[in-house]
Amino acid sequence: MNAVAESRPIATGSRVEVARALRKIGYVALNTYRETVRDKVLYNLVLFALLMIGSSYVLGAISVYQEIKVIKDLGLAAISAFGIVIAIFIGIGLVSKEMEKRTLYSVLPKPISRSQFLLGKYLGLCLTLLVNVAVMTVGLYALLFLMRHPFDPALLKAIFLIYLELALLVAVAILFSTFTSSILAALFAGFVYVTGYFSSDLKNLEGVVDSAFLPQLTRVLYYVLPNFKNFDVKAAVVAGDPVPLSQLSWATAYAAIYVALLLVASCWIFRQRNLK
Amino acid sequence: MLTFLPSEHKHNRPAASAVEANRNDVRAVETRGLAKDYLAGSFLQRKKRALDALDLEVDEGEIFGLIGPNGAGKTTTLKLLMGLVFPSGGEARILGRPLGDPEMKQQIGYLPEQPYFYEYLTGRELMNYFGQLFGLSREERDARSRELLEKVGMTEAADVPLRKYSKGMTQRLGIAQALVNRPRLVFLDEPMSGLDPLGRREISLLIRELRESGVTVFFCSHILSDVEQLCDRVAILNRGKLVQAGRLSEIIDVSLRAVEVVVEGLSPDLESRIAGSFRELRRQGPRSHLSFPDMPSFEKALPLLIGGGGARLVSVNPVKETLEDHFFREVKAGARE
Amino acid sequence: MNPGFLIGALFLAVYAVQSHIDETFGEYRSTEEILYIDNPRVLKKAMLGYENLAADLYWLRAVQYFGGKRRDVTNKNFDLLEPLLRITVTLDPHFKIAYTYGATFLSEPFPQGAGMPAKGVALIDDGIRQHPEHWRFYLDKGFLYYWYLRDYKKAAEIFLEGSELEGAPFWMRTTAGRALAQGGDRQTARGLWQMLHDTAETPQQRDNAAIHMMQLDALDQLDALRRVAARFEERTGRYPQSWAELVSAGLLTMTPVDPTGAPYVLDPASRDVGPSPESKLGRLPGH
Repeated sequence: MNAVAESRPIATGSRVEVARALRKIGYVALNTYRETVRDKVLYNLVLFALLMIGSSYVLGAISVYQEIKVIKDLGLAAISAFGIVIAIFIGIGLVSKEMEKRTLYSVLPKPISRSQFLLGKYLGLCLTLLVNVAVMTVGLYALLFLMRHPFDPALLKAIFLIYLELALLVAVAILFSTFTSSILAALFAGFVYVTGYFSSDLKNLEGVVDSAFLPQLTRVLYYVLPNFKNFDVKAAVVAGDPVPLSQLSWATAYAAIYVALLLVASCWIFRQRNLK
Repeated sequence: MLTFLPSEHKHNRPAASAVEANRNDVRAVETRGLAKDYLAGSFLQRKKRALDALDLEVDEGEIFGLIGPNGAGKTTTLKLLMGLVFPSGGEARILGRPLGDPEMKQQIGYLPEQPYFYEYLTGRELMNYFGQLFGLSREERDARSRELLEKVGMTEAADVPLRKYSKGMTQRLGIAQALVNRPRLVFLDEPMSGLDPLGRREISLLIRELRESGVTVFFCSHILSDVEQLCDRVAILNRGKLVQAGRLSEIIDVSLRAVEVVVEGLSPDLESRIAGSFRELRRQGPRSHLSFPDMPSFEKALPLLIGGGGARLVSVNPVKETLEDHFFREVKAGARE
Repeated sequence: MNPGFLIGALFLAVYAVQSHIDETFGEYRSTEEILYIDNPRVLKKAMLGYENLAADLYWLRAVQYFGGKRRDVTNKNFDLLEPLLRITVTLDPHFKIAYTYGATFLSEPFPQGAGMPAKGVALIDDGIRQHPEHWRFYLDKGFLYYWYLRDYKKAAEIFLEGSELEGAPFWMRTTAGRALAQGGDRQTARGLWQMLHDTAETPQQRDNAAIHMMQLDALDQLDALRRVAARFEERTGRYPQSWAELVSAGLLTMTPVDPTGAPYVLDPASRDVGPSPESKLGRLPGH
């Protein structure tokens, strides 16, 4: 009777039960946020990001007539790069670390399903990410303000897409952490980011390479791997080129669907896992 | 002293009659052929049976002890019951419901072995979090947290981050969090570990209190004296198999095994007069330690010992078999098979 | 619901959304990538020792964006070809193929290429500066002058210069001679394209040469067809109205098709024959 893994649905349909289930996911999320946001390493990372943003001031002063551009370029790059490190770093704090440190042991026997737990974790981490990105954004705008540069809302578009990118990356990290150790999950997530970023360069190999099989393979990989280039509008925003809202919406749609995919897969694996 | 009245079940009967009254109720815990295999070995993955066809029954309102040497399968059993790992065979029910049932989970509490909690939360925040997971209202959570933290002596440390807790403090918090929801049934894995003698005494008292309020307590321990003191029923595991299970009084031979007597000033003359009745004699300075095989033999020698022959009776100690004796015997027998 | 099924459905959704994004915003994305770091020397410094890898990446982009199946002829943005190739060779000056590829496709007239032979020459000159001993560059440069810039004298000079380098094939000398002597001769041109076809280093260069040879064949065929039409006019006193007339007159065996299989067009109004506008031959060269 109990030889199979937990196979109960998350909510059995009644509205009250759904509300209750959602509330529990919310509690897990808030608690995850509280736990991760106090991590000292996180503080240091954000601090470094702010330092890097601040240092762009120096670089800006060197390049004649290009100070603002350099500050914006470097600022966005810092938010993105540190965001990636933070996303992966807190991503591994998910299932892997919980399993390794056994904090899960006291939570799962409580009346909460494994799926609710995982979803709550994900949302909590997204919240942490949001706060970190917001802090870095404020830092960047503060610097620009000090440089007497008028408020440029276009930067927010780039930062919004960076945030989506990070939310997607965290979901990738979650998936890996359901079945590998912390360190491997971090490495795999980083690897997926790099290949996902460059996959678009490989999608049109027909006519370029003599083999018939290789272009098909890279084409499939291009669609299967998460395409992080969809979220990169830094250059356009800094150059002042228009970024249409439709582009933002489609990128959001892509992120939402892919994240859903990753979370479904993660829950599926997690529900069957025997904990050490 | 605070009593722990479970919200749904009010047991006000004295503990002694709990067993008889329960026979028609649903059992607290029931397993049939519960088994767990692991893949062991780094290269050639071989199947290792951590738990082999366990049949267990625990009634409501009793204190049940699961004992065995390290690696016997005690923690595995608890992990299976808690849904942390999934059985390779057999089945189990808690409070009449299948494993993983959310309504059942609402009514139980669990303390894991060597508990580890979120480092950056404080004790109070953790209690609050778990209260949230049980669906308690804010007032209930606050009240319960305060009550339980005080009960386990953690009120001062309540706002200190958990990473600063000592092992004993973590253990106490662990017990507190197991009781947040006024459970009907509590599972404790090595509840005394990490506690100093004072702490162990407190927890023993707490476990007894729980039973007074009708809560069923299921705990694993390798400290047999604790188990002997507290448990109504016991199950002995060894190498994944159930060796023996039943009421403590049934398992241990309650009859006397010996009567140990200490006498001062036993003259050789007196010694020869009681020679037939005792089994052993050991001299230690002015005192003699005598061991009589049973009460009648002692009673025969008694008048001579106090009859003014110069001897003085220091102490009389009836000796029963302890759980430890029994346990070693059973386990050693098992090892020889 | 079966999670596997749900995951499959979501992957399909991902594919759909990604395709839409590529279609609507694809062009835009590639442009901004290149312009992000416009100075190749800065890029080189930023690469921190991975320049060769980065060069490969830019080469891949160059070849992909402009070399793929030529279905989006209208979408080709050749503005980025030169910067991409420049970045590639700056990052890795040993990337010889980038120079020769650039020579070909920068010089090819639109829509096959960028139509900027001067830029092609500039790129090849860079190559020669970096690798003065590499005979291939002289072949490419000479050909640029021969075919695209129509400077036969200069072409011959360059072929000659290149033929003296170690490893240069023997026919470079004779090519020089022929270029000088026969200038715009179709036969010579065909020979040169054949040579480029045989020594091509990428499938695109090979296909490009093949198309040019077919174009020359087409020109020959058109000349033959004009003679046929003229003979018909001599016989009947008027210009033929259709190929069918010529076939029934016994002057043709069937409707003539060009080397790509597209039928030729006979236009009685202008009294001329020509390739079909849908033919993959593209615009035929002037002579």
